[in-house]
Amino acid sequence: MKKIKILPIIILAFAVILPVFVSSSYIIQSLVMILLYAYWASSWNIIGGYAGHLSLGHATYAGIGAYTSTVLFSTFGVSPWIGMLVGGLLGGLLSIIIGYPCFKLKGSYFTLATIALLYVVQIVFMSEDKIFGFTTNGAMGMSIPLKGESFVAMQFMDKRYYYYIALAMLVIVMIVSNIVKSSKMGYYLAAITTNQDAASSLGVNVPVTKLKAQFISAFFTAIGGTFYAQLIMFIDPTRILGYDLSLQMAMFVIIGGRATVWGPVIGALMLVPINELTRSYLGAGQAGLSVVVYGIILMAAIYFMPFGIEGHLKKLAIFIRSKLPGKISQKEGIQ
Amino acid sequence: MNTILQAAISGILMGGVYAIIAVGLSLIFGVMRIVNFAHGEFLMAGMYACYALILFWSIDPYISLLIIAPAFFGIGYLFQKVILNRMLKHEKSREPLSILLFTAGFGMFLSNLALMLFGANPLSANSKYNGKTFEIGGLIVSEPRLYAFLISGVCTICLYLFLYKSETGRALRATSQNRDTAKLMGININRIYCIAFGLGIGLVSIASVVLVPFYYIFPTVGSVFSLRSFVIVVLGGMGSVPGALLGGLLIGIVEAIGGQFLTPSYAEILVFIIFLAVLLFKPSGLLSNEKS
Repeated sequence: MKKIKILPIIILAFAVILPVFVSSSYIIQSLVMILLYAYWASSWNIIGGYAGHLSLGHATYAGIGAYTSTVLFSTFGVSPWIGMLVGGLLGGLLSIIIGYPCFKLKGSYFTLATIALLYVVQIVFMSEDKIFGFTTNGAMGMSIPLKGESFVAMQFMDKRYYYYIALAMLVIVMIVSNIVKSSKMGYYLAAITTNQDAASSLGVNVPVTKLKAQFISAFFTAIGGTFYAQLIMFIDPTRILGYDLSLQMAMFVIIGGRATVWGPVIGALMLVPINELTRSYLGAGQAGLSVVVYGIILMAAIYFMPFGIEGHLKKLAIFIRSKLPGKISQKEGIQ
Repeated sequence: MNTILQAAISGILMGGVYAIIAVGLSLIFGVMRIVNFAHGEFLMAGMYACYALILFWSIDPYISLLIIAPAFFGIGYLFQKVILNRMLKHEKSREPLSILLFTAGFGMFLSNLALMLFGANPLSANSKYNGKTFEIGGLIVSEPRLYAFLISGVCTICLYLFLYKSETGRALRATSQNRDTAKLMGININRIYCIAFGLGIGLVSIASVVLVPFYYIFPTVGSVFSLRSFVIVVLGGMGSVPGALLGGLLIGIVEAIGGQFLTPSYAEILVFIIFLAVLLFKPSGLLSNEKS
C-alpha cells in the first residue's frame, strides 16, 4: 500500500492560502523571491546534489532562459509562456554541449570550468549589442515591454499571480526532483557520486546519466530565468548571468541539505528572508554591512551544519517522535 | 613590432605577479584539495594593509613586506588551524565541497567588509615609486612593475627551494601526494595544513604589496586576480609550483598581446578559452605532479 505523506500536503495547503492573509505587496514580493530561489536551488540540486557535481555556472542557463523569452517577446511578440519552454529547451541543449566535455573533469576542475564558461557567456552578452542578430542591448540590459495586465504576456499588477505561478513551478520541480531521486536514475546518480569508477564497472552508463541530470537541471533553471525576467521586468548580464546568482543557488542547497528533495527548499526558506531582512534593516545605512552580516550567517551555517539543515531537522523530528506517547508511531504504522 | 614587444614586456612583468598569486592557490589546493575561493579577497586585504602602512606611518611599500608577509602567514595559519581543520575532520570526501563554499562565503564577507570600512572608491597609494619608468633601447619599462616581477620571481624560487630542500617542504609534498601515507610516516598533517595555508596566504600578501605602487585598490579588486589565478593554476597543473610560474607568465603575455589586437573584453575571453582548452585536452595541466 502506498504511503501517503500528510506533512507536504499541509505545507502546500498553507502555502496556497497564505497570500489571502497578506496584503503588503512588499511581503508578497519577498515570498515570491523565496519560492523562486527555492525553485532554482531545487533545479540546481539535480546536478549539484544528486549527481554531486558542484556547478557554479548555472546562471548561464538562467540567463539563456531570460534572454530567450525576452527577445522572443520584444522582437516577435511571442508569449513568454511559449518563450519559457523555448528558453528551457535552449538552456537544456546548451547544458548538453557544455556538459559533454566538462563531465570528463572531476571535482574542483569541473567547478572551475563551469565558472569559466559562465564568464565567457557573460562577457559576450556584456560587450555585444546583438547576439545571433537579436538585439540584447549589451551591458545596458533589456526591459520587458509593458503590456499592462495580461495573462498572455505574463504581466500582472497583483503580485499574487506571480506567487501562484512560482508556487506551481516549485511544486513541479519538487515532484520531478522526487521522481529523479527515487527512480533508477537517482540510484545511478548516487552511485556515481559515491564512486564513479565502481559505478561504471557495474554497468552504469556514467556520461549519459550525468547528461540527463544536467539537461533536467538546466531546463528548469532556464524556465526560472524567464520567470525572473517577467517578475523584475528587467534583465542585465551582471545579475542574471552572474557568478553571484550561481553561488546563491549552490549555497541554498548546501546549507539546506544536498541531494534531498526538501533541502534546497529549506535552505531558501531560511536564507532568503535573512538576506531580505539584513538588506532592508542594514542596507540603507552602511554600504556592505548587510552582506557582511549575511556572509557571517552563511559561514556559520556551513561551519556548524556542513551536511545541511535538513538532516538536523529530521533528527529533531525523530527525537520528538520518540518522546511522544505511542499514538503517533501507531498512526504512522497504519498509514 | 615595437608596440608588440612593449606589450610582451609588460605582460611578462604582470605575469610574474599572477604567478605568485597562483603559486599560493596551487599550494593550498595541492596539499588540502581546497580551492580557496577567498584567495583574491586575501589579496585585497593585503593591499589595504599596505595602503594603511603607507598612509599612517609612510613606510616604504617594499619594506612593509617584512611586516605584512609574516602577519599574513600568521593569519593564514590561524584560519586553517581554528576553522578549516575542524571542517576537514567532518568531510570524508577528498575534495570537500562545503569548505569550498565556506571560502566563497568568506570572500564575500571580506570584500563587503572592505566596502564598509573603506567605501567603493578606488584608492591609490602615494609611494615614491608611482609612475616611474626606465628606458632600455627605446622600450619603456615601468619601475614598480619590474620590482614586482623581481620580488615575485625571487619569492617563487625561494618557495621552490623550500619545498624541495627542507624537511618541512618534503612533508608538505608528501602530504599532497597522499595524506594517509604521510600520516603513517609520522607527519603531523594538521600542522602541515596550517603551514600550507599560511604559506599560500603569505605569498598572496607579497603579491598585494608589490601591486600597491601601480594598481588601484578597491573592495572587489580580488576578483580580478582570483579568476586569473584559477586559470593559471589549472593551466600549470594544480599543485605544481613551476607550472604556476609558467602559467602566470603565459597568461600575462596572452592578455597583453591579445589586448593589442582585440578589445579588452575579448582579450579576457581569450584567456578563458585557453583555460577551457587546457581543461579539456590536458586537464592535469601543462606541468603536473599528478598522474591523471
